[in-house]
Amino acid sequence: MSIIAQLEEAIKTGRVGPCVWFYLLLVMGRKKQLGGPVPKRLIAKALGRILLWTVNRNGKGNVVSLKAPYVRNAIILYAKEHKCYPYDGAQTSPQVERIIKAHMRAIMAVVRGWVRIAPPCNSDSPTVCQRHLMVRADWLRQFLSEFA
Amino acid sequence: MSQAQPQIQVKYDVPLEVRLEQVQKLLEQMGIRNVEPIAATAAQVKRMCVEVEKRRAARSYIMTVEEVMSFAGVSPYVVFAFQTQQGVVCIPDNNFIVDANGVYYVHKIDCRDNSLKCAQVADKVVDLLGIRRLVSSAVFLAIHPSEQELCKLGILPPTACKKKEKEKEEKTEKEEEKRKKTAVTQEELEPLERVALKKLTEELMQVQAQRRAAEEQKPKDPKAALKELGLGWLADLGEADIATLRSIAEDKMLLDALKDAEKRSAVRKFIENGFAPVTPAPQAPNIAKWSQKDIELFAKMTEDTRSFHELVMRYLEAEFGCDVSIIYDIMQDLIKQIGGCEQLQKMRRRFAT
Repeated sequence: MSIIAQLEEAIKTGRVGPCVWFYLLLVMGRKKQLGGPVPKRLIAKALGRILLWTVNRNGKGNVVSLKAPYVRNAIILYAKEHKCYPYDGAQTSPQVERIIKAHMRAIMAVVRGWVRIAPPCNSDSPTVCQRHLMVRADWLRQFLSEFA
Repeated sequence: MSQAQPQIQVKYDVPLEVRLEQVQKLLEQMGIRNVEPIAATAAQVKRMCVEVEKRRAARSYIMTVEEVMSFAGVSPYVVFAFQTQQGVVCIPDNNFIVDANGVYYVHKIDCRDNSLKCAQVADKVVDLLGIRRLVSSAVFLAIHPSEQELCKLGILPPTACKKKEKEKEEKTEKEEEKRKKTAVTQEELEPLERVALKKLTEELMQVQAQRRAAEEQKPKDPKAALKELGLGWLADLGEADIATLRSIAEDKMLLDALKDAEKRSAVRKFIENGFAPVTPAPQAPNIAKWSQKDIELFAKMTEDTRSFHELVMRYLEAEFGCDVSIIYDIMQDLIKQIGGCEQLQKMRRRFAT
């Protein structure tokens, strides 16, 4: 049974640890080792969990701009706070940053999909919201808690 | 063809018919027999032939037949149309079909089966008609797209082949560099990814183990469990007794004991009576009826005893006046040697007789 299949089953039936989402984003490019490509829904779920944690933790602001640096920082911060490897012993990890950077295209594709279905963050200039990947924080919170 | 001939023939060194005969011979030599000669106007030829090079069409200096002749040679009205899979490729191509009033002599050759042979024919024809300057590499490539094969046969000019080779080499070098770069990054990423994978697997194993444990702990449906064990009659007792049934279902030892019909009926009565005892509880022996000596002996023996076994030992000591452990050991050895209690019974009977 592939790791992806096991993971999907574990998500369905039991509760998985918080670091699993981070590890999944780290190894998502390794089809061979994972026994197949990581489905987009699983990437979205992992990213959703991480961003939900970040948004809930950050109470400030009505609007969140889900640009690449924000998402990248959110992932790294999540790993640090949950003491996921290698942040269980180190404060920084250039390797993690490099891997996340390499996966940003796939990650941002998911984020852009969310932004597309989000209601306009500003009624005066809805295109600005799309352009800057801005979504309302309360909507994002509700959406991610339902979705992830 | 005859309409165009009188105007142009005067400018040629060799009569047109002679060269056309040579072309015919050449085609036969090359094994191409199904050549369809047709006479066509410039517009028809342009319509028939695919545009190989747009660049030349824009060049303004090729405007008249004379210019074409001075630029390319002496046969501006002879056209070879090679019918390929992609379309009809003409030599010379559309850019040199310039005389709108002239009639062009077109050799239509079917190249759909063997385009390489056609490329060879085109090469020879180009040499024969002396129109090398009119025909670019793109035309040969349009007839037969394999650049390598054309270079190998010397149809494409060596400069073009070298250029292409250079481009290819550069491309492969770039690709190799890129591959090396990605390989390096992959090597760098591997240890971390390996650990992440390991951790992920460990987490999954933990989740699975937890789930398995939870499944094991999860109480089974007592009624179903009882039915599985062939004790369905217990399950029919009613919803009120579910807690009792659960405790019974969980206790397999008890269920084994309940396979006995008598015990089963006793349990049934017990449950039906609202868990009140059906049979009287065991009572202490009524020692009041005993003799005084026995009562005293019993009291003495039970004074400090910690188990029933010790009580028996004390009784034996009182009865035989020996050390308890010796009697106990002798009794055990004896029973072992004679082969069990049945033999002991037999021996007793023999002694009695």
